[in-house]
Amino acid sequence: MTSKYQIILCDSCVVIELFRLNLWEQIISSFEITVSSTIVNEVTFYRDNQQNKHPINLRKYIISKKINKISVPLSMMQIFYQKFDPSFQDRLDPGELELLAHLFNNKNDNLKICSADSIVFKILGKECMSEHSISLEEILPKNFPKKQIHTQFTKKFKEKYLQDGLQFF
Amino acid sequence: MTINKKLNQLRKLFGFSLQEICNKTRIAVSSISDFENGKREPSLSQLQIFADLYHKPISFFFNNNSLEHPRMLWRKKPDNKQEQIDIEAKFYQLCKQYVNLETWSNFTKKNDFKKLKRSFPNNEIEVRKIAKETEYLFHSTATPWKSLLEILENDYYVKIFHCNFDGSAISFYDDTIGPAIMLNTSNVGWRRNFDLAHELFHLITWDSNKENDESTEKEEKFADIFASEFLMPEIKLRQSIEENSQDERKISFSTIDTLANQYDVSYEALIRRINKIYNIKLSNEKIKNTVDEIKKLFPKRDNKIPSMFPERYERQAIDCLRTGKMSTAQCARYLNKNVSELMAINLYDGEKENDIKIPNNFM
Repeated sequence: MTSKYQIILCDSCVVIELFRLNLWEQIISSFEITVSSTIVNEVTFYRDNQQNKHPINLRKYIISKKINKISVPLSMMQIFYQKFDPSFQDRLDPGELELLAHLFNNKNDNLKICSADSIVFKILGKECMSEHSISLEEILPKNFPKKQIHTQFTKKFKEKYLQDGLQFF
Repeated sequence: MTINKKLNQLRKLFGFSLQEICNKTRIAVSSISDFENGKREPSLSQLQIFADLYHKPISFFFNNNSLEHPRMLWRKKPDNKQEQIDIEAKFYQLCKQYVNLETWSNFTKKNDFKKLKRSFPNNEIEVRKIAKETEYLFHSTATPWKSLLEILENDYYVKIFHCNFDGSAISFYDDTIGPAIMLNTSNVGWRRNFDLAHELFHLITWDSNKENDESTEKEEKFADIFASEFLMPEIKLRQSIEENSQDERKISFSTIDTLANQYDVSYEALIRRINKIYNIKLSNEKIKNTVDEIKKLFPKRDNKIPSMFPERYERQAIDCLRTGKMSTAQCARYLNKNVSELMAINLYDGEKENDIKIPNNFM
């Protein structure tokens, strides 16, 4: 497990999965978790293994400063859009675009995107920013049974698509 | 055009006041005004709220895109202009998303809708001829009109969406989108089928150079004749009536009910068609009374409510997600689902068991 000084930019799937695995509270106490402003409106519930619905209120965690919220100014987004390959733009949700824009503007070594989307890893690979990616598996507590996590949250999945991005999109 | 100008022009295009936008978005009037005047910029999450309201992708605000969409033909326009603009923008956005999915999944069309295209007919005889030619192209050996939607979607790649709106149907043809139709979910299946055939006529005879978005009375009349002729071809309908009738001189209510179900048309449309073929000359009142009587005698017809999205659209969205061509949250947006709902399907893990691996030297 990595340490608290690492800033993890979580996409919506990762947040939902952490709630599903009942690991959210533990992870936010171990890492500096950051979400995008648009994700706050998107992530409103998760379903457990029995498909029961449970609410998620990220605002509560932002207000109590347990997690951070980034809000990338539109002027910065505009620059990001100008540099970003237009053929990728509509393939990503605004929440993911905001995380990528934030990362591209702050190439801080401690900043990593934690995603469960192959396209995000492909983009990071393509932009030679593999070191700024992390899978959910890599932030889980060491004693957590890995069999419980789905394919797209594994390190193997991340590395496969980073490699794909490096080679060809 | 800058973001603030786009926000201002979109609001004017939709005919909303600042207060109406405030009611719809819960963003203060003063903030909306500041955003439009360029005094302040909205956050990305606020911009997303505006994008959803105006049925635009968020990239629309950062790129040079036109506010306009192609002209659309309506079958019964809503009285409320705002509703018309809103549903047209929504329809256009769905079509653009469909094109994105086709592009990302390298979808190639094996058939071309242009094969069906004809110039606008001069008279009713020509309309009937177009209907017969179209029916022939559809390889109609049995009852293709029963599966008109599937043929148009799967063989001719017409983009067909279903939505609840005030009106019957909308269609347009555009070089980048291709042919597209939106049907009203709240209409019964046989009514939608007639609307579909009606709109098919507009698409077949679409004139891209025409600027006016109002269809003429003549166009509407011809589209109805086409739909009637296409869905209930004379020779086949006569055969069906003969097969189902015990008395040559009478058509029983039971036969009407059977054939209306078989041809997937309303009782009224069928009776009108029979009226025309056999030159019976029933009055409108008599037709209405007959329909009422038949409805009382037979069980309510089965009316399936269709999904908003075409089956291929849904399949391509899931395929794009599974193959890493779009993100989960964006896929959820395209399918009008919450990201949590989409995640509950757990699409990636199926990959391990269901995919058939083809050896490299196989192809």
